[in-house]
Amino acid sequence: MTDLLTRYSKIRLVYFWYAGRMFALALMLLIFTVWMKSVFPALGAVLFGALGCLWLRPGLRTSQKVRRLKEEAKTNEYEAPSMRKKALKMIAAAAIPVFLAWIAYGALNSDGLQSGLQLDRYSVQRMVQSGGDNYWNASYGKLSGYRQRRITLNEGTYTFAIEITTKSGDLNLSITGQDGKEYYKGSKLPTSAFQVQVDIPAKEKITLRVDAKGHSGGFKMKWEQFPIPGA
Amino acid sequence: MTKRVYRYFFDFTEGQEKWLNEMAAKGWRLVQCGQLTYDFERCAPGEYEYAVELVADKSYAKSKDYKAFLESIGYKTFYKNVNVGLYFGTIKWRPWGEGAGQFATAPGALQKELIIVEKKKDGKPLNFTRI
Amino acid sequence: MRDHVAGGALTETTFLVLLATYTPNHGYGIMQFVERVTGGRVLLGAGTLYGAIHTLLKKKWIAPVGNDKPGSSKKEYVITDLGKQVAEKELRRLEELYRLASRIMGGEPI
Repeated sequence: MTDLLTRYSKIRLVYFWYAGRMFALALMLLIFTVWMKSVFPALGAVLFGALGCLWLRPGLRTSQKVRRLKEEAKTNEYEAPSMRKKALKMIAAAAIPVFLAWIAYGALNSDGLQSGLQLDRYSVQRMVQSGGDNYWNASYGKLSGYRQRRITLNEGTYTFAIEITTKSGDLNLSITGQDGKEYYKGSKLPTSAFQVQVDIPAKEKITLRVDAKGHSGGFKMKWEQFPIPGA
Repeated sequence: MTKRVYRYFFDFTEGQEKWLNEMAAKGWRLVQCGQLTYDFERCAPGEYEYAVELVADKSYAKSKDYKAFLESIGYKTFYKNVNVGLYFGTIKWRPWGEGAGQFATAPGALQKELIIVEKKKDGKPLNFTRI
Repeated sequence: MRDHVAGGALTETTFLVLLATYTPNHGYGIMQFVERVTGGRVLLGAGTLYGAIHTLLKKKWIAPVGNDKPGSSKKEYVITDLGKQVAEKELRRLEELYRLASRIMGGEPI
């Protein structure tokens, strides 16, 4: 009896597997139809739906047989756990690729995706950065979050030459002193080049900070003490 | 005399089995089967009978073993596909398979999901678990 | 094919296959043996037999016999000592049942 039951259960599973795949394809094409507002994916959806039904019919018939066998058989308890384990395995098998796809999506499209997958307080695509004693440049495909640099400036007047390239998104820039003194703050900077003069009363640590929201482009900053003391 | 029939069965177990037995009752014996083709040759009507066994959940080694076992009993066997297409070099994942049967490759277990079993009708039943 | 060895009962198929392998036998031979000794009452299906042989191999109640011709499809199987123990245990169980049933149906009070 259990031979019959396992045999027909397996056959039923294979029919439903093939039918299910066709219906999944049909569903995907249906989504495309709505998204692209085109008739061609709709035809494809109908085709795959039809194929799915052709496999569904023998599957349902076999399902009837299995149900009848289960009623006759009194040793159901032997079949139920293994079938349940198999069902759980299949659900896990389907869930893992979905999970991986979600991680991949998050990594590639980190536009502030609050999924907890970002490992830092900013996320960036394709950044080229360079910095030195008196300059800081960066250009990137997309930046979100903040980036900052701390530099030490002596007492005197410094001129910051700033160049911003904004292809899309928002970029804010601030130059802040040790005790929070705001030397400069610019918001939603467009593509531009400008100069900012900063008077430092005593040698202190300055924080240069950019805050970006999906900003595409880059920035260039360089600073010099100017006028040069004693000139 | 031989003839070739082009046919695909969505109902690949019972529908296919019923049709093969109908052909055998009319006096046609299966000699070869392809993805969509069946080659028959003339024989005495009702000389042979057929059964279709599903082996898609087994690994290739196990299904070959089963096929060899059936042949040792004296049945003639053919491998038959369920999928149609050119699958050379691909791997299909079948989570419902047992052990190595979860991955079907071509060449290998892919396109060999079924075994068609032929037996000379001699009064004794073909004897696979059926209802 | 569920053999509750703890409870001691073997299925008829298992027992018959074990008996068939007291002398080395191959698949077809086992099928014919079972059909012959039961007078056609039990007809082993090829699929059933394949499953039974493999279960018994796994339980180590039968063992394959080495062939002279390598790669031959006529693999033969013979019962192991463990298999013989199991079969004898089954025989004692059946004898006990037989005696009990004979006494009751013969009208003897228990």
